Amino acid sequence: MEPSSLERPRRSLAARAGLNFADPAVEARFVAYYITKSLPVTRLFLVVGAISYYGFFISDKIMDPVGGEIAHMIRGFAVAPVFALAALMLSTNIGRRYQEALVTTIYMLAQLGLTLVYSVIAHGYDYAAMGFVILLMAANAAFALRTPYIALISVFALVTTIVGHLLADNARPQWIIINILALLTSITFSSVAAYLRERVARRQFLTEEALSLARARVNDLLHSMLPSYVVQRIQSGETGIADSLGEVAVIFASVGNVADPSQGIGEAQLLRGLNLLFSNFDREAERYGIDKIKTIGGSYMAVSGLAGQRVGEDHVENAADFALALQAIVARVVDDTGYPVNLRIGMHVGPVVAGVIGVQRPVFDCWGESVNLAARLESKAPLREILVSESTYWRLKQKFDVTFFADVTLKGIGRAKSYCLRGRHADSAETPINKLEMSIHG
Amino acid sequence: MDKFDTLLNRFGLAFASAADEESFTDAHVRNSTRINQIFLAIGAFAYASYYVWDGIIDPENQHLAIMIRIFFVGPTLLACAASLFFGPFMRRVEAVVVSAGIALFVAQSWIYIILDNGFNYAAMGFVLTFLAMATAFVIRVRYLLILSPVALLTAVLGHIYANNAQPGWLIVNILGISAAVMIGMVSATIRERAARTQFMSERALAQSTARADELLHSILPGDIVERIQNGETDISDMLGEVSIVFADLAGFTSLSRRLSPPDLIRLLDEIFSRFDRAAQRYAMNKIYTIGDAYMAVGGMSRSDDASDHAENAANFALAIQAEIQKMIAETGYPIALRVGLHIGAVITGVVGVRRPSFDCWGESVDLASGLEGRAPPGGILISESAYDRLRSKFATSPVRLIELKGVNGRSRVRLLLGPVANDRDANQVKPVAGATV
Repeated sequence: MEPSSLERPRRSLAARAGLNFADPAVEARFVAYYITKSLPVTRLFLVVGAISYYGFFISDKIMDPVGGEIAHMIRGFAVAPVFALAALMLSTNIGRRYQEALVTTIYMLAQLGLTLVYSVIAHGYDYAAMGFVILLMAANAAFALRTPYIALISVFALVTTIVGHLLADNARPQWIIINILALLTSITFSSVAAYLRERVARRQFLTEEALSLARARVNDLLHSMLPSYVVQRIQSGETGIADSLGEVAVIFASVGNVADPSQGIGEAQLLRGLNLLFSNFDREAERYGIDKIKTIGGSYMAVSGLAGQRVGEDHVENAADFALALQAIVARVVDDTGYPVNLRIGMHVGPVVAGVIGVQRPVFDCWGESVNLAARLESKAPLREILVSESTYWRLKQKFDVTFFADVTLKGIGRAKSYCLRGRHADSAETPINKLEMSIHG
Repeated sequence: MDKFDTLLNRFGLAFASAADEESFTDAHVRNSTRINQIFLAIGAFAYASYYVWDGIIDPENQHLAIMIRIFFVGPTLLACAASLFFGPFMRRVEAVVVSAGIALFVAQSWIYIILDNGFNYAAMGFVLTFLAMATAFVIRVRYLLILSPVALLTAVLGHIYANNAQPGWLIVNILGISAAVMIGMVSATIRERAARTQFMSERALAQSTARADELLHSILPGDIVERIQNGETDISDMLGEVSIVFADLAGFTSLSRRLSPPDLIRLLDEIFSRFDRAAQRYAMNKIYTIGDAYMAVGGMSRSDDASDHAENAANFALAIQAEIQKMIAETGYPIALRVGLHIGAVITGVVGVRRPSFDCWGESVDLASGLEGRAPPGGILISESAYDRLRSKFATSPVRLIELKGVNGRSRVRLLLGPVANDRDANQVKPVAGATV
């Protein structure tokens, strides 16, 4: 026995004709999409349909002034109001959900009404084809019914027309040929039209789903390459983004001793170690509202204060808290694993130029002496310490424990005072909300 | 865009840009030539078969009506179908279909004039013909707008001329045909709008997909993107020998104080785009730019083993120095490029899950960076291992011993001066401007 032949999924007729998605979840989403999209048109045409259906009493009266009176009543009192009622029902959830069934029912009522109309008009079935054809084609054109529903109403139209003709007994027998011929012609055209329309709708549905996925992916990628505020500005059409910022905090954090290939530690381990640390760093950056610029080898560069300040917070203090958090993370890793990984951090507060180079391949970066200074401080920082510049010292000294370290010679910059950031003062651990309240109450 | 187009545009039946309209017409209408052709041919035979109907209405004149069906409509529709095999007609496929439609309505009117009491039954024929035109043929609604008055006018004029129907039936005919025109237009409008939306969505999808691909390729090298898309995670490789080039702009920081931020970024953009082009030329992978520094590695990809990455890296280093010389000549800015080149082992891989970034690690990277730091402005400083690989093809300065950051003891370094000419004449060495020790 061939197991594969047993397991082969049976594809329905609809699926083979391209009128059904293999995945039931996708099919359900498509139906919801199709119905939602066609709702306004359906509602409009139910109203237009009610008026037109009623309006054709004029043609009834021309065909037969006496019988036309009864036909007028059938159109006016029995059928047209049901159209309007159905339009109202589409405002309810149930009506919306069963929109196709509702519309199909309305069509059937209208068709039955027509068979009645033509049986009360003298020689009605001599002229019936036009009415049946217009009704069927109108239902097909105005309502976005899926192909099975079109098949259903087509069969219904044909059967009721023939039965109506036979029962009415008011037409010459050979006219049944005309009625059937006309109806078959319009069924052919309406089926082709419905089939093509549904195929297009299905393709459109898939395209739009793929499109929103692709757009989300572009958005994700942009957000992974650029700070959010830059993505927003690019997406609102801004080009040539270049800002001169007066006071931001630049942080360089360099991981040492993660792994060294010359000491026989595998590349996979190096990557795993860096990944672990950097993803933790990313989380802290998000917490303190700090923008990661990039990682360069084992270094992590971040800037605080690019997009202005968060309400009630100070971006320089956030940067200090962030730097302390990074050292805490590395200390925890050392405690947990015993592996002697270490971190050096340099931080400086000053002006930078921030912007995007490249349009097709945007790269966000910061330039200026402040960036160099922070990088140089990092290289001079003792292991497990945070070395900050003098300007940083003055910004932090009230709330943080910052002590003088040394006069250092920084390459390309010269001699500068440097300080070690050790922690927050015990009494300055207020939350941002407290700070805000304090400033409000003086 | 004229008034008519503006009106169509308001109903979603025309694109604002003529170029869009043209490519939509190409994609939607001209690609459907075959469908139109098939329906023209089917129409010729279907129309002939309706002589049955004529016989029921008026058996005596049926033979005259059939002449029109067979000798006028049939050949006309078949000729229209055949004409679509030829380029000039294919380009005007909508006009061909409209001509066929006009012939149909004229014939329709003619037949009902011939048949006794014909215009009592005319509505049916016109309704079916119009609805068939509107649903079966792929033409834009603007062309249906031409056919609609034609259908109404031929029916009304025929009716009046024939004088073979009760006068009230004129109203029935007008009512029926108007309803058919309305239904046909609605159906065609909905269909055309769907086709237009689809056309735009597909284009947007192609753009977004290409953009996503481009962005991904701009942060990761091509073969790494492929490996990620094949489901590989934790990508890291140990590469035995690659060429690492570091380049840094000397004087850029002081320049950054003098230029406005947009000018500064424009300058940097220009410089790095030139570097990118050079990298592409010499099969170097840009790893990143950081501030005013540029890092590129050659010999990473397994596919381009054919070319020598050491030679490529040397040529790349010389090319970017030449680019900077050109920039200085063009702008007069006091900048200079320092370049370091080393050949050695690195670990490459992707860090960051949510924000993937491709990078290289290892002593070799530090060494290349150290070489760049000690290179004179305008010069290319290379390590001993790079010299060993390049000595046969490139001229260098005599060896110097210097201390490099992170390296124990003194390292043997040289300046790369330029390629040795083919005849290996040392005098032919083309020195790089500014590259003196």
